[in-house]
Amino acid sequence: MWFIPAYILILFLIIAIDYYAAKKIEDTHSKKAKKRLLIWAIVNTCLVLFIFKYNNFFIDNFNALGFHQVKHWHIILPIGLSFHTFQSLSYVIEVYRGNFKAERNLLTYSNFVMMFPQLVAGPIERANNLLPQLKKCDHIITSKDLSIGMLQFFWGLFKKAVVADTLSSFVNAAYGMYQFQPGSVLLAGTILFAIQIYCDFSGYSDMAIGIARMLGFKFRDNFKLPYFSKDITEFWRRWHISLSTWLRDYIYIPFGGSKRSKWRTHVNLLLTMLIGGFWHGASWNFIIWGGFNGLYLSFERLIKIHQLRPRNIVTKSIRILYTFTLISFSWIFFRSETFAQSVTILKKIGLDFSLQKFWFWDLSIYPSIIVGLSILFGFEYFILRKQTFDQLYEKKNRKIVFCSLTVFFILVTILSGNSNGSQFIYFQF
Amino acid sequence: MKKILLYITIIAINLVVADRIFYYFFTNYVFAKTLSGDTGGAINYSLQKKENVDCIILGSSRAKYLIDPALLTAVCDGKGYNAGKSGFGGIVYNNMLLHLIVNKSTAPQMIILQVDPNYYFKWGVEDFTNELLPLYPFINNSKELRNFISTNSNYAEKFKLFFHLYRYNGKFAGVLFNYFKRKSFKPNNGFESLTGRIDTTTFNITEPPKKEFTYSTVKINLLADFVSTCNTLHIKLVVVFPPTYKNTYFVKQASDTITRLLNKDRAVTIFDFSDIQKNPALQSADLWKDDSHLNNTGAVIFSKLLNDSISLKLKP
Repeated sequence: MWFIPAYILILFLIIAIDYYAAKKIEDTHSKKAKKRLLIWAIVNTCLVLFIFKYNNFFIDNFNALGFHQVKHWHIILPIGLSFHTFQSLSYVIEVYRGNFKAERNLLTYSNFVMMFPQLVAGPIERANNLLPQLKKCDHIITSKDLSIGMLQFFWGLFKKAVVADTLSSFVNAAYGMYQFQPGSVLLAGTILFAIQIYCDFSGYSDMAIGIARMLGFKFRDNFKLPYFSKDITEFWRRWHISLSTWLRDYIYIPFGGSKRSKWRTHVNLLLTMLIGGFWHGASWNFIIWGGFNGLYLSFERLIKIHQLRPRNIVTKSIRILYTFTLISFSWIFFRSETFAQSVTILKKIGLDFSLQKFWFWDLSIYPSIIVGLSILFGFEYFILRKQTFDQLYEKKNRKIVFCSLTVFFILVTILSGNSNGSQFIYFQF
Repeated sequence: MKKILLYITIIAINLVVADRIFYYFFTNYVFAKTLSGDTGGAINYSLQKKENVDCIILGSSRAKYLIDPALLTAVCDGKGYNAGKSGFGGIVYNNMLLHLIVNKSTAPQMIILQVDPNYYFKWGVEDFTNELLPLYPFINNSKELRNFISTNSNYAEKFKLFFHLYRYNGKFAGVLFNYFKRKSFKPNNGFESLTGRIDTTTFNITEPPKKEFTYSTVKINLLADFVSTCNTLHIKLVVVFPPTYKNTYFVKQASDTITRLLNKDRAVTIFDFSDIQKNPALQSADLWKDDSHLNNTGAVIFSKLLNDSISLKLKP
């Protein structure tokens, strides 16, 4: 997945398809014609995604059947394609549903799809939130926007550079050499990957939201402390919110949601999560990851977990641990490159688990991990769990608090950030 | 607009002031007193310890875990110091460390440099500053180090280095940790042994590269500079090529080339153990932690072998 200048034309093509389709949908009075236009837009937009993202996956699977060998297409997945196709599609669907007026200015619409902070890895913004802000004539940047934006940006940078990239050296060593690692290292690698991917992706989202805010635009939240969730259902309301609400609004509900029979609801949940998994990447591992999450949601619906409210700190902790364990288990499939690798890792964790064999060469990262995780947990638990950045700004001495926190996160990043960090995990999608 | 500019200015000023003040206190009151740990404390100790020892071992983890100075009785009565650096320790690092060592006080009588010949291949885009990260806290102590970083780093790195605290990037927590446990610090000779045995069931031998490799000019030049510095300061230089399990990383062409280069001015004594076929005593899997590191038992055998070889070649 790379940025190739010529690939910008793909983005323009998606913009052109959906801009034209939305306008036509609004101008047409016949319901059938509207539906035809919507299907045309969805098929064409998805076709672009299919060609660039899924084509070789289907070729591989077709070849595996052994009838005929089809050659791979030598194409590279354009950066952020999955994100802007979903963003563009949501706009057309909303126009079709009559919830939103079609944008008549191509430049404004292009700006909505291409807005740079969220172009490559989201959040997948909705037209009803971002387009009105883009159309506002008296757009101004206030010192409040700047203070909040800066703090959120450097908080995101801290999560990425200090926590995610430090953890990545352990996780990469564990997963990269999984054949040689004992189960204890692989288990630690899996747990740390759960934190790494959260800090990597939510860090990116915070930076995107922060940059937009510094420019005077408000994006919607993409993460709300997901690992404090007490069940998987709650987790998916807090994790990658822009995608999970997209899947809910444009896949789960159109399939019938929970309004049909019981078994149909379970099928809908499973299908939605399978599609969500497949959206992440053209690999069976992502489909399996989605499948597991679908099964979790289905199971929780079956046992009516929302009625089992934890009442004290012990039961709350147990529920948080339950959620974290199940989610971490599914991350094994997400992080592994092949299904065989996931199976080997699971086998090693189960059958070759020995704390005595635990060994990791670079001992110097442990103190950094401890410092990073302590600050992460402290800031999330004591500050962000109780209030948003906007609410924090309403408190006394806000200038001093925001300035100090911003300087603090910059200094911590300078001191403990991995200066040769890897790219964002979600850039590959 | 005024408010916005004022806010940015206040943040920038606060940042620079906090950076400089914190750097000053951290360097003088914490880092200088830290003598252990991979985050700079061990280098601090090497620089101090050096004043009392005549023989220093330099290299990577393959020096640190393989060569026990206590067993090198032939050259320094077993009182040398192993300054090998796990995860680093190529010639870029060692050359700059040598300058730091000789800048600090009198030069040692002997340096044993562990070398992996295939390290001198040019592997894609070369980023030398990466190898020097452990030495960033010592930038003020060596002109050579400052010049090398300034010549070889890109604009991003130069910008980062504007912040003095960046010199402790990735090391801060480790330094702090070792500072607090400094009272339990025990004098040592730098050698660390590894336990465990290589898992031969999952071990795969990587095919040695068959194509002709090009050598890194910068690394070769630094090696030549290393030799020349030792010559100038009358330091006896001994170079060791350690083996790898089943010759995993052995490239004969590389060993021969580096030997030829080092032999140019005949000032260097080379001990080439890189071909394990010629060293049957080290072939058993029981002696290896992984394909490039001997375990504690293996390290004893290797150190003794090295000591015997040195004894044969260097003793009158």
